[in-house]
Amino acid sequence: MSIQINGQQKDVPAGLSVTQLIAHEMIKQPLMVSVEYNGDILDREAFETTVVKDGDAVEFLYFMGGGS
Amino acid sequence: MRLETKNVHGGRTLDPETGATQFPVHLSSAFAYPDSKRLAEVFAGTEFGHVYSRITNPTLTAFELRLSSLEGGIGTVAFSTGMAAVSGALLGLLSHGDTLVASSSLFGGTWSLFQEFFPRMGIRVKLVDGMDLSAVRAAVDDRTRALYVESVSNPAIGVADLEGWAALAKEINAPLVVDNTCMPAHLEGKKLGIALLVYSTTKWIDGHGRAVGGAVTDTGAYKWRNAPHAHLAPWIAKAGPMAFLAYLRNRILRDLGGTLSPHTAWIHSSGIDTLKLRFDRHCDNALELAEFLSTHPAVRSVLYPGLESSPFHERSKALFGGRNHGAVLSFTVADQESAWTVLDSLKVASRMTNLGDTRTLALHVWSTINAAFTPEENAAMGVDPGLVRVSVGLENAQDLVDDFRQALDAIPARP
Repeated sequence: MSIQINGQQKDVPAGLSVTQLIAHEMIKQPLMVSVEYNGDILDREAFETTVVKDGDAVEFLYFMGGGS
Repeated sequence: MRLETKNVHGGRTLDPETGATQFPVHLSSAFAYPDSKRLAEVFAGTEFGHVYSRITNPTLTAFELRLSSLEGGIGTVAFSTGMAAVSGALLGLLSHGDTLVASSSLFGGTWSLFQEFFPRMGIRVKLVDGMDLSAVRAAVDDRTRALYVESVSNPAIGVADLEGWAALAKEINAPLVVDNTCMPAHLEGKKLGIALLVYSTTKWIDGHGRAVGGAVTDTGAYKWRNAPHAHLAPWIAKAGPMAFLAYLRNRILRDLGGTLSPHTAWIHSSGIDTLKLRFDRHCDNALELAEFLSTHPAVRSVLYPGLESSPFHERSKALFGGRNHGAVLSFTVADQESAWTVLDSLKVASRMTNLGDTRTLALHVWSTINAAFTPEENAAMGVDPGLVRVSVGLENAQDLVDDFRQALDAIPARP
């Protein structure tokens, strides 16, 4: 299926949960990443149970901050 | 995973290149990137990375992950000291005109922050008897934006009704901030409904008296999307449940700068491995010492929730899992002169401030850390001239009992 990840169209296997998508995309620091799913920031507890569908838009975000 | 296993393995990964079990100390003020696009993505938060060690650093990140694992939190921000963590958490919540309702049974530094700094900034602080929930409720007003209490108060050693505090916090939609320094990893913060756990990691998390540090963990219990704090609105829109942690990092650390050194983060992280192991022994020693002190004729009172006679015993059992009641006790003797005689006669325990060292620490609070407060302020904090605070260490319990016995025996008999 085809989804958007951080603004880029990508083909991923069907039926992945958000947790599985994080692993599939080898997202860095999975314990620190926030996920915006179709415009809403997901609670971490929902990562396992939210199954990504064709046409979804996912943003992986880190709130690490800029510097001087 | 049970606590001992979490202590060793929680929040930890092996180095993928070397297999090292310990993470390195990254003594680097800032971090270079191969191209401007990648650096901009890191600043924007769409790529993971570090840019400047006031805000994040790989060693601090590793320490924060370990602390989050300990508490089951959604994230942690480390600070340079416990007071930086306390002030950072509350300045992250409170604005001019807001009210903070807090227990009056507080560590002196927190008292001073609440009574001196916050009023100057237009933050109204209402200090109430934290053991009386009706008093806490009566203090709440329509501008209350946070509640604050120590899980075990220092040095009065009371145990707050945290379930009651949390229920009230939920009712008024205010985050409950709990300083859990004295019972690290023994509170089910999220289950209780505590929003933020604040620590002086200087104490039992380091556990060896080596360096100062602090931390704020967001348990995930408070739903920031419903928060009435206007300044957090843009962060809630951007970061959802991570809003407050993002604010702590991107505003409190970025603009106020109370950042932990990577060196100290590594040291404090190394303490986590043996936290439960050490804390069990600290608590066993504290109970044995408390039981002895209760029998000595020169001791007027012993404040320790592990004693069955303590008014906080049942609550302590319910809140902290039943086995441990903390490693700090206080006892009172007749007056300051008697307290100084005891302290000056100790041969094993050390006369000094601090808590949570491997060695037993004993302190006359009235003439030292609380010397700047008025008698009325001290009374509100549960401190009188005869009070001695003891952070019970890891020495042999009988050696500690023998030491305090001979020290108490040195008090001259009164006619």
